[in-house]
Amino acid sequence: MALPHVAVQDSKPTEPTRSDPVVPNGIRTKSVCVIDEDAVLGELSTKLSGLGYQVVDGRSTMPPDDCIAVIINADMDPGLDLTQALALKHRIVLFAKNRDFDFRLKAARAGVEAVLWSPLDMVDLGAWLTDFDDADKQAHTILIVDDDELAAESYAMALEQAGMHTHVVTDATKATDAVSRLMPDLVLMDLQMPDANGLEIAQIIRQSRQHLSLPIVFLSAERDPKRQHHARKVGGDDFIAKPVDLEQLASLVSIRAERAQALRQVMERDSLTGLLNHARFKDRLSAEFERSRRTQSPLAVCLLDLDHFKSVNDTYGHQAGDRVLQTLAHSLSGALRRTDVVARYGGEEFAIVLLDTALDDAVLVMDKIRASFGNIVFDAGEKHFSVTLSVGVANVASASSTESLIGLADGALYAAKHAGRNRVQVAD
Amino acid sequence: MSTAAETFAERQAQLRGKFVRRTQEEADTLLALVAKLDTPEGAEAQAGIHHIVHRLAGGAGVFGLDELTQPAIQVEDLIDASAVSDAVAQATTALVKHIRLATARSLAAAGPQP
Repeated sequence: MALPHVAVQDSKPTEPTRSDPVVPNGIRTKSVCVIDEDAVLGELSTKLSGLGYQVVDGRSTMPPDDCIAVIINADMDPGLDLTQALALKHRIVLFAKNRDFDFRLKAARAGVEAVLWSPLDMVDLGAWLTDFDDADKQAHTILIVDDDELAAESYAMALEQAGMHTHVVTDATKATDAVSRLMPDLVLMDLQMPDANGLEIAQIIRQSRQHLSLPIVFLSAERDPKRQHHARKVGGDDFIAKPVDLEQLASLVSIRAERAQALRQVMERDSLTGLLNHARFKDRLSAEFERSRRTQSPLAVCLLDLDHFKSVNDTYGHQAGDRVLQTLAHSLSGALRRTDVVARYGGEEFAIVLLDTALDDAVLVMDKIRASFGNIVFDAGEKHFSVTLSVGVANVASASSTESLIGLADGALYAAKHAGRNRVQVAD
Repeated sequence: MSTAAETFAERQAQLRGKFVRRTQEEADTLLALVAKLDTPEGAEAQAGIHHIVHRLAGGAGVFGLDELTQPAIQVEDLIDASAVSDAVAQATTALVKHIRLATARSLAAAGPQP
């Protein structure tokens, strides 16, 4: 099979420039720096741009401050001196042939966080880059429920100082509404409040299945071990005795919220691609549909399907098929804004909500992703292949409900397939 | 010190100042409630004292008035154990003295208020 190793040149005209990381059509450019030989650099650049990254040649330019990672071929820096110097400022992915313990220890001492071995596995590399991209990590949202507004404000201040978002509720009877509205990562609640005590509020929160896993941390001057035990029994995950050290409070809340977010990630996301699952996508679409109606802001829904995916699995095996799905997931997350909603809708179908995006811009964004993804060359043993994709795009203004919006996008996707695939089609 | 850290320290100092002034006012309220302990409104007065000392036991440490934590806990424990009103009155009056000393010291350390 002839290999289309020309993607970098071909896709250049639509690449945003480095000085303009967020271009008007909504594509966000994240850069990675690569230090490698010419031959590999070209191929790697193609693959990385397929994942939505802009590649900087680290041999001629210093890595930009905001680059997500520096990818270094160990052959270019055998002593790892350059690696060590760059690791002071950047996150490093080293790829090497040498798997010796001594070499790995040397890499660890040089500050290397990820080591990959040749031949480079793009799924592995993409997963590391996603991990490294702090922009995708959202600050935890903490709901503080305490009738003492001064205490609540001081906790809020300490948590915000530690990088969390906080909302304070001083009226216990409004706590459950706030939980439903804000969907916090954790609730920090005083145990004794005048209108309803914390235990009762916790029980009400737990009445909803949606909030069964929401961590509730009680904060109280309660010293009776029996009552503390009861607090844990009704669903309090932890109990912090007042008076509390604010730094310790921030640290404990942050750790708990981090774990809760990881758990939620597992429950709401597709395990292969890390994207939202079908059910969660529908929830988000409903919420965004309502918001768009309320604020009169544009919104586009795109359904995206890989072309002839069954034959990829049949010809190259399911492992290769999984790599294609993962790579597409990385491409989508890399190319879209973090506010956009990206999901694996099922099988080889993906669904996207582009917020505040007019139809024309949505088409531009999706077409860029389509063109870029089609240029990625996948390896399956000695064989190489590429996969194209088709997209149906629908505009919120044409739909009366989320169901009809999805229906319109689905109809457009069908039309794209019918018209020969590898294209973006707008709903009539 | 960075600007963010300065803002944090400033906001913390402001909150501490508010807490200290609120606690000073609560000292007066506590004395008024103590005076009602042996009247028909005694139960209500006791609940009022409990609310204030519980909040003080929790907040004093956060706002740098650590020496008030134990005296506040003592009053709370007495009420929880249904102690006689004389004992509650005595412990509350002692707490008020601690409050007056501690808040005066805290305000003096913070310098003149705007």
